[in-house]
Amino acid sequence: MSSTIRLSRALQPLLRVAVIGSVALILLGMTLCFVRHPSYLFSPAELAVLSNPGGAKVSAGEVFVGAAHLQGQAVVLLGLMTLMVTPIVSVFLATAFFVRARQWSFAAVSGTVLLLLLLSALLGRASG
Amino acid sequence: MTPLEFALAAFALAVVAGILGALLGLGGGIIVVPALTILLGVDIRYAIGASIVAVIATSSGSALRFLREGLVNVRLALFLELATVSGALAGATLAGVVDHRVLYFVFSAVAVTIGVLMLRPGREPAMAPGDSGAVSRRLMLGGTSIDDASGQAQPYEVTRTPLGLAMCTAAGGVSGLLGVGGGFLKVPAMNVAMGVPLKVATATSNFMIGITAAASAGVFFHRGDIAPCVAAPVAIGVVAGALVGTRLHRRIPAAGLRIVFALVLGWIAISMLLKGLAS
Repeated sequence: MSSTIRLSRALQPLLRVAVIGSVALILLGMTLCFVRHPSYLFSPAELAVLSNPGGAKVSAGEVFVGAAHLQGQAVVLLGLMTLMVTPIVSVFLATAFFVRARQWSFAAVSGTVLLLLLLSALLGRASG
Repeated sequence: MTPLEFALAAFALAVVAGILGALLGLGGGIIVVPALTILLGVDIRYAIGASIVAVIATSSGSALRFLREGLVNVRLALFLELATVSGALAGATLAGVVDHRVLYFVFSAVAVTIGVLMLRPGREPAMAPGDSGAVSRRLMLGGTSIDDASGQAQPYEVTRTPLGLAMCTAAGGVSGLLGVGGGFLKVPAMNVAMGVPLKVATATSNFMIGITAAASAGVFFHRGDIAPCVAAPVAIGVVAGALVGTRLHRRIPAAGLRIVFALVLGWIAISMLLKGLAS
């Protein structure tokens, strides 16, 4: 079996868990939102605030704390964050795979992509 | 419209975007952004934020099946991500300072350009073995695809890597700027420029767009551009749509894909241009 096929197989469980986990969190968060705020079911006025939050910034730490307290929007954001980090974990897995397979040229390619992704997260935090 | 009605409408639109996205190698973002802004009146800033999450969701959902079917060229994807991630980072930074009207016009122009590009017939590899460049050979970027008609495995080589990298840098820039996957540039980059079979290019693009979008998602998140109320139903909808779309992928011929693609892009270009003029 070629190394590319082995890598493809290694990535599948990660993607499956990430997609199912994030969708479950988002659905749970939306349910909590509607249960705790029944007005969301019938009040058009609420939509203007929810769909245009005015650039309100939330840190990852605040998301974790809010999710621990089962705040609907924080749980939704935790699900969205899970989705957002999934590709980064995929590239990390690929890099580790190429290192283990001693395919140094491709480990360097994959590692550089991983560094660029981590750099983008840091730059986003700095500019946020 | 109440938040519940909005969530259901956004979910339905996202399902359609997810199906088309998976069929065409897109993240669905090029459909999600105009659908949210034109049909549901969402500010383009939050539409782009929701779209970038949707792109990752589509990619993760559809890549699962494409990986299982062996259609994704992971090595080629990671190699081209060197270019797209760099471009995405620049595009996302630029999106924070560009006027919203400009975003509409750029979106429209990009849709027209890619629609015209994709109306040109796709090329199946016509190279002799050994026709690939030094970079491609050293990194073993070539692969094997399965011919739909004969069911036979057909090896292919990857050529013109500098042109492919240049096109993917542009794809990343557009992705970061407009919250789309950039698949509409990545598919022609791989298929037309680099000689990769269309089905492999589409599947590989689906895998790549999530990584590209992740580069700009952090910027959008920290800037407060991801509204949970908008992004949540869209993310779930595109995952559901992507699961359906990937099941249809092998049954729909490449020529049909191209026509659907061009029609969708034509609608998007006109709609976004009108929206930009009216805003």
